[in-house]
Amino acid sequence: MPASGTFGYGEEYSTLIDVNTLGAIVTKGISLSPQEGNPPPRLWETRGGMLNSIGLQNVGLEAFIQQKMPFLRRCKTPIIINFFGYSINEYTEMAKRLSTLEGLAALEANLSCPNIKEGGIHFGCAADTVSKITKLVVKSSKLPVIIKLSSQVSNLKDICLAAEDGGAEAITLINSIPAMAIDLERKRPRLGGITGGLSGPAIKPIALKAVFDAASVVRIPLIGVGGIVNYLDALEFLLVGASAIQVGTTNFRNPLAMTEIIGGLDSFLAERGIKNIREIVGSLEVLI
Amino acid sequence: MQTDYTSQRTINSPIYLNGIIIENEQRGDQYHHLKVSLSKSVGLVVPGQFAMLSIEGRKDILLPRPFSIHNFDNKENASRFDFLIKVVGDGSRLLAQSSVGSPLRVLAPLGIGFPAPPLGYKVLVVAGGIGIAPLFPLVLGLRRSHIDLHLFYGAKSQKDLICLHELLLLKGITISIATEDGTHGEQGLITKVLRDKVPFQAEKMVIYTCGPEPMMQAVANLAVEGMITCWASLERRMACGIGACLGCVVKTKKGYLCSCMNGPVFNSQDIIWQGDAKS
Repeated sequence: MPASGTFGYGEEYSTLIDVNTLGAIVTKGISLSPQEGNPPPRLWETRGGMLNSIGLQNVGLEAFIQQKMPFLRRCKTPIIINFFGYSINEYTEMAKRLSTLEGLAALEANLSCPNIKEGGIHFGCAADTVSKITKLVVKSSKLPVIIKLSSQVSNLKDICLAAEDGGAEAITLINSIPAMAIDLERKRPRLGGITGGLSGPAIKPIALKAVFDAASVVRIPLIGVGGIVNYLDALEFLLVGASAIQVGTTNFRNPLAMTEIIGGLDSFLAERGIKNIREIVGSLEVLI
Repeated sequence: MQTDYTSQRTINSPIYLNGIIIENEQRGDQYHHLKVSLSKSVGLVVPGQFAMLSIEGRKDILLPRPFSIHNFDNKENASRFDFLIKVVGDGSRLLAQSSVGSPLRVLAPLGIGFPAPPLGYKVLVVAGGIGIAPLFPLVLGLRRSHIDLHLFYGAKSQKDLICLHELLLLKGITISIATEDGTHGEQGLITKVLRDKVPFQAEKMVIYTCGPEPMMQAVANLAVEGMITCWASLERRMACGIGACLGCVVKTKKGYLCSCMNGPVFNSQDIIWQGDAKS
């Protein structure tokens, strides 16, 4: 499935790939009110990575329902709505209202965006806050709730346990990593938002470790994301314990990437005679 | 080229396809003219539209890079795009250094191109440096529709007037040239020449411009003075090219708009310019 923010609201890519072949569509993050986003420039490519400072620009809940839901409702693949709030109340309000919409499979609560001043990563850094928000969101939602967390915390295992205890059905790891780039000549940051979130192949090892650590403590499924380019990367995430994977920055490089990864996994399973991909999940062998 | 420049703007769905570099002509130190043959036809292309290019198999550059479609040749089963590339960073350098036969991945056609001029309007085209890239097919298209035009073409130096030879061969065009170092045409900025030669009073006139933003801003200011419509093609860093990443936004009176989907050609009146005009 696509990582939130790299696939628009699905429709953007619908002429390029058959979105129904995906495991799910995950939408761009939605908030209660429309967000203008951060000042440009918003993008900068680093070695093996992409730095972004979009700032969760989105049309807001009402416009999302009016303009974006009709297409999503027509899709046959499960629809996961990514959302965020600037306060705990906004998270619960969003969960309540989104879960009344027809045609959705799950909600993914973003507790880890590095690009907004309030909310976002701020809420995902402390186990007690994660626990509180998760419980409230789960209580407000009629749909399964996925919690999307950051790797940039000192107590990832505790935070994952807090999400699990709070009633999350799954955890997505990781979000882009707070980072920055400098224009030496002009002595300025490369991004209008000064700092941004790093994604792409550069962060894959960090994401793998986060999933590996989370898998050692929680029982709920993990969705691995961070720098996946091809099916081999996807397999690595499955090995360390992810039950599903999201593809982000790679969609920009190659709109067919997710289709190719699915095809690659199918061939791999067929060649090895593996009947169920779940056999691979968490099958990493660690010699002590 | 099949664009009838009296027709309306048409937007095709983009296609993701394979391309092969069939010609790579270096023009001076910084510029390369790439000809790319495409595995299938992309249908109608409007001057001002662009393509996202990535080099197959090169992992050192992550994101595709947007380039204006400089010229195009649509046949039934194949297409060819030309790109005029100025080396400014790692992505453009890698493309410029690619040899004939290098495989590319191409996402095109993207964005909204230049709208056709209303019938009977005078047409001004103002190009600065590499800004000639999307304006060149516009000029060809206008001439194909027998529309006369006045081209103002400015650059730092003579070597930066990359398409001048081809443009001088066309009929029905008045060309005014300025270089900042005076090596060709008038010395100074092209916007000064524009101001001197054109009486900017409300009249039936439309301007198309592409180049450095301070230049386009100066052109836009002149257009406002004369209550003239001005279409400006803006360049932004982008990741997806299709309105998904929201990385390439332009500040406009309508809020942040994606240059990939709502542009790259904007009505200059809508743009909230970020720097200072230079004229």
